[in-house]
Amino acid sequence: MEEERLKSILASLLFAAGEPVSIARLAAVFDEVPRATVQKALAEMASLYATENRGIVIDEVAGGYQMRTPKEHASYVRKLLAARPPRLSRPLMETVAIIAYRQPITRPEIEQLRGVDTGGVLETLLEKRLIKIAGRKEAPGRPMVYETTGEFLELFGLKDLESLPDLSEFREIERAVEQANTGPVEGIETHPEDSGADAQPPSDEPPAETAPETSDDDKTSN
Amino acid sequence: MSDDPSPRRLDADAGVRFRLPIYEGPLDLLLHLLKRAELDPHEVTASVITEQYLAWLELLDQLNLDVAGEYLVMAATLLLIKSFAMLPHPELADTEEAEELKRDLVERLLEYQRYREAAEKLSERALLGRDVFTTPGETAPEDANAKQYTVSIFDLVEAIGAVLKRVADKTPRAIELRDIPVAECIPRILRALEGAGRIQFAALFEDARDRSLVIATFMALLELIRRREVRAFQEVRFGPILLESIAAV
Repeated sequence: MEEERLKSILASLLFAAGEPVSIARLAAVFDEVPRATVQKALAEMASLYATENRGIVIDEVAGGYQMRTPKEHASYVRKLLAARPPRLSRPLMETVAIIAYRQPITRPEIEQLRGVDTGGVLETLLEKRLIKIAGRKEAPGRPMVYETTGEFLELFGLKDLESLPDLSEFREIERAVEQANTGPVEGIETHPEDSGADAQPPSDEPPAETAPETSDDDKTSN
Repeated sequence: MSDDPSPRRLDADAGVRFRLPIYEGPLDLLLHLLKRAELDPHEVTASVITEQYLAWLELLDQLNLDVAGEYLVMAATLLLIKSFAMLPHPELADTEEAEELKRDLVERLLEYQRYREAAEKLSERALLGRDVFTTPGETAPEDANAKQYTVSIFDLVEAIGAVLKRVADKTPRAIELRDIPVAECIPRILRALEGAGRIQFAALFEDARDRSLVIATFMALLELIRRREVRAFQEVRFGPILLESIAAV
């Protein structure tokens, strides 16, 4: 099939589907187009739509491709649809974040992390279909375990669970704070002079970051 | 969130209007107090934090607001750590215990803070229905398990309404009173699910001839759903309601 025609049909498919459609599903529509060709066409379309200000973008969301309006047009679209945006309270966001990063997770585990009762919030999340019951854990009382859904990925425009904001970033900040409190630690590059004097706090530069190239030069010249 | 009014503002407004910040539990309150005091979660046991924490609980108490149990547990923990720090303790074990309590608390605070930040990051993303929009298309599910729609109680009530209408036509005119205990229907439903894996909601009532049996079966089904032993879902929006028992992981 001619490439332009393929792209044109793919645009129709994505427009009509509304929801994210996986490459496998899109490829299944065509008889003699290999998946790789569909994937390549989609990637090209995605970058084309993004650069040409077409008023529609093609995003990789929830394991598939989805046509969406660009963020910059939000206020116009909202006005036209007069739609109420999804209401996401802080407890709701905290809970869904915990489930997203720690799934499958039980209610007691969530409550241990948040320090409060979470029953009502879980009900709301289930109702909104952002989480689902994934079964029961083989533990005393066989508690139910929760997982996030495809709708969760779709709502937040995430390609998959791997694309969640990295929690380890926070760990690094935390480690940096600890180091600032306890002084230099093994494995972190510091100036040779500092290793002798423990009391000396690290210099202005954030300790967790890799030392700039200039300091490396300093060391070699020493 | 961060600009929550502090509880002290109450004095100025007393008698006029109360504006209480809402805290999501003791960890949230502690993080707020730490931030206001410009302290790090590692310094949670600083006496200024303990004092402010207790002052907050006292304020809630004065206002006759219920203080949730978890706030009290945290207060007890803070006081216990404080008491260890203040009293001379010859037994080494006790100081170790205090250290452990503190370590656990700091860890919990840091972890909670991490998820709170993650939640904020997620909220800032382009949200579907708020920042970005898509067409309201509708497609069939990829395969049987790909997409499922949760069925609400309203869907179930609507469905049972249809069943009752059908059964009403079949019910003999003669008045017949039969009491069918709900408890007897539960194993029947479970057996049906065990045999077939999943069954259609309507199939459950296929051979039901009178309304009391239908209602008892429906009550039993609701009970099983409430207990999370059975779940109701649809594979296609507006499609048939399916029932399935929730298996262990």
